[in-house]
Amino acid sequence: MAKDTSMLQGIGNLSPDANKMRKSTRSISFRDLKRLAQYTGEGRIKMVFLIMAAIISGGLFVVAPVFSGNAIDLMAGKGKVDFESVTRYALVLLAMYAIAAFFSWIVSYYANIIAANTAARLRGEMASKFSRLPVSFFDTHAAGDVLSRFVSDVEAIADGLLQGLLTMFTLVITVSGTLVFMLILSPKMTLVIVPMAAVTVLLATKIAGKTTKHFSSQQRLVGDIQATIEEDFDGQREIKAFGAKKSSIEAFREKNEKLRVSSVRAQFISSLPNPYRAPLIILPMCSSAHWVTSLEALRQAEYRHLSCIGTIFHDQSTTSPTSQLK
Amino acid sequence: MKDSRTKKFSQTLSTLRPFQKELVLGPLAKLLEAVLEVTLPMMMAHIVDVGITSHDHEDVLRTSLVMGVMILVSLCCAIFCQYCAAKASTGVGALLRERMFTRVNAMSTKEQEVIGTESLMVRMTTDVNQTSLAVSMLIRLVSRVPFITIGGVLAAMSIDIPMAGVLAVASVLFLITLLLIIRSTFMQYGIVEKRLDKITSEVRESILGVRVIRAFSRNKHHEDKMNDASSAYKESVIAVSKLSSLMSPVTVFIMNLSIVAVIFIGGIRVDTGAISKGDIIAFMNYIFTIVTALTILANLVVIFTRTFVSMERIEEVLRSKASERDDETESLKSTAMDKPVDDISMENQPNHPLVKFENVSFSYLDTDDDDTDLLAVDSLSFQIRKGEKLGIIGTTGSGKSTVLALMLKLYSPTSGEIYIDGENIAEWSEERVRAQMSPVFQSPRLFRGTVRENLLLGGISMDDKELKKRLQIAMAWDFVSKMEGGLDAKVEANGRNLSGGQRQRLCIARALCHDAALLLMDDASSALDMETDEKLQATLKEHLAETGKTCVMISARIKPIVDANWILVFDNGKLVGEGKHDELLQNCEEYAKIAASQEMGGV
Repeated sequence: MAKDTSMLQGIGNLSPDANKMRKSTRSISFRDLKRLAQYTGEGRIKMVFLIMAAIISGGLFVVAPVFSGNAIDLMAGKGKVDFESVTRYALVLLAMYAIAAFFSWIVSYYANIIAANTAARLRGEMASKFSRLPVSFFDTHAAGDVLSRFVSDVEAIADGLLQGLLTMFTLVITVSGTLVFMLILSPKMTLVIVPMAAVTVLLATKIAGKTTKHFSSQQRLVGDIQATIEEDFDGQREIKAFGAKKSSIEAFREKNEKLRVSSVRAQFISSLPNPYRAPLIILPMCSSAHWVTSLEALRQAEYRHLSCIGTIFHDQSTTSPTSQLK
Repeated sequence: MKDSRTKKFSQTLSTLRPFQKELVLGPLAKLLEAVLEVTLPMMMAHIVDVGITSHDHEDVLRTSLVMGVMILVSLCCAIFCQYCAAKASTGVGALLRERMFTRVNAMSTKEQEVIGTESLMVRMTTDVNQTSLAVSMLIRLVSRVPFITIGGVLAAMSIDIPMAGVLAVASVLFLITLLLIIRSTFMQYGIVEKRLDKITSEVRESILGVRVIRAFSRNKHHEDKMNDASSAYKESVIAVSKLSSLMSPVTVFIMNLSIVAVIFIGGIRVDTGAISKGDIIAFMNYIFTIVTALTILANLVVIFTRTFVSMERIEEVLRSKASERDDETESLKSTAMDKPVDDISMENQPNHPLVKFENVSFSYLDTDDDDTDLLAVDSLSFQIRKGEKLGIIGTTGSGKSTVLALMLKLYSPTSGEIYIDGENIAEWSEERVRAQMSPVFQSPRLFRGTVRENLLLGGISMDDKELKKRLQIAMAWDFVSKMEGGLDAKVEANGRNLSGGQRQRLCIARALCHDAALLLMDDASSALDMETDEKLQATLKEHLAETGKTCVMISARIKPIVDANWILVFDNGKLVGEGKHDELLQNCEEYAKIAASQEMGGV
């Protein structure tokens, strides 16, 4: 019953705020996980396996740089390389990467299947809801609106929610894993890097929040132009018979131009978090390198640190495009 | 191969032309950014080797400063490039939408029906967005990826050739795997898109036809159809993911293998003293950079693969036949041709045939065989005399509405000729033919806007007094004057906020506002109650008498046409009787049958 009303609200909300659904996919919480499990139904056990697989592959990718760092630290210089240990590390790495690859394949394959099933299930529920909705619903909601909900929004929910969840899991594992390693290696350096990373994330989130506003105004114009297209195509008989071709093309041009101007803005602003992040990745690296020298300490751990930092920021920058896709 | 593709997408690609500046400058800025990005790991290696190892604080500071400046420059480049990308990609999107919209409007009704509204809509939204995304990616990433990959390999070579070999082999393997997977998924994406179209059309049918579906309790049937389309789509998505889900794990694994190889070979090289530890660290950095670049490349290829499918669908619209003739060139031609028409109209007296059908046949299907069963109208010959009221009656599917569509040149006859004022309309532009008549279609459409905008559709002008007069004739003034805003009251898409009868009356008023000599009404008052309909017929009769307009009234009921000067009786696409009401009652079996069923025999 509760599920039913949420579906109804979902449909009913479309015209006043088409962005609601999109927003909900943007900030993913554990509640969404429950909801997703509900939508996927059959996938509950599969979901657990999927998350475990994500944890394993994510975890392995975190641990791997430590091993490669260790291996590199064993190469002290000419004639001072401990081949036995290096080979051992190399083989362990090989195994780790193979296992990680296998699990990440499992994750992406089943994630796709679950997303497809979820979309089909959601559509099925909406289809049966259609036949129970009062006819007046269809009078007060534009066909194009309901249509885009049935087609593209369902896709966005299924894809976005799942991708988002998996990304979140991988991110949490990567960041927390890396933090643990860094703390073990050098608590002091961690103290410098963590606030830096936090500032980066905060800044990026802030900019992302700002772009939402632009996107919702763009979204409104998109809806308007879609309705115009549909109306024009369906009303071709009248448009032709009353010689309204020119005026309707003119009206379309105007709306199209408005949409163009608004999308340039939205797209430009949303692309900004990426370049802004770049300096913030390098700066802590430089400062920490500087710090390391001035402390004249931790020479053993130096590379391992750098690679750990690299992992954190690498992950952050790769997750950012996915968060924008939604 | 490349050339044929360029040709294949020439219409779509031509929208790039206005954005040449962005297409050149954007990637150039990005290239500069990439150059800086490749040099940064070298400086990191310098810090590790010189700064940290020898504890040279100043060197670390100096190098950090230089790096800081480089980062700032690359930031500016990146922002500029993003701006170029945003401008060009949205511009291309807007241009594509406009061209498609214009093109579709120039298509004949038959051509439009071949593509279909829902498919057209998907093409103008999803497919255009996909293409626009690809343009953005083209500017932002395409120059960068090869540069970083090649630059990375070159920089690696400057450190150590054997180890750079590892990187090069890994990159090539990576690319080959990528291309193999993409090639095999390309076709499957086409199927996915087609099935999504199918879902759209099923859902749309269910929404638009909701009243009919409910009335005939076809709910379950339509639900099943939607579910079928949905699960067919699901199957195709799963089929694609079988291959596409391999992409990222396999490619990442290849690059990770190269890390293992670097550690292994690097160990040997360090032991022989060929390279230092810092070199290996720089190497690792290059691997990360290249992996990132190639991963982006993988995403790019996926995006472009999908884009090619989308572009094909866009191209189909842009290249499709648009047989309605261009208005501008046509108006020149028609002014030259107007002369003789004026001469003819000089002798326009009552009873002169205004419209003449000669042996007209028409089929909605494009078949060559002469199967007369497929004909919507079959060898029709009749005349409409000036100033008269002509009634057309017949059962549903008897071809009544087709006659109207043929007169308006929405379709052209499969065979036979139609004349207006003695001239074959095949020679006329669509626009000129349509200027002669004002139609009210069966289930007519209203548009988003105001009452006034709907009445003046097509940008004609008329003052409020005249508008009010026409609304009164159409029995629409009563409710329009009560609406908030009166003539400027809001009309929702397809008149959702009005009742069926109100919509019909507004559409009749719209036809009257256009004031053409020929008024065409197709079941125009079917949704009106008896009393309003009677009043409407009376005011309409008065109006016709006053203006001397000719009127064609198509109806399934006898009442509206009982007073017509001439009545045509249609059955199964054929003319089965014509004459006045009283005559037809006597000598036309079909007419008598209809009259009897409507208890009009005694009138």
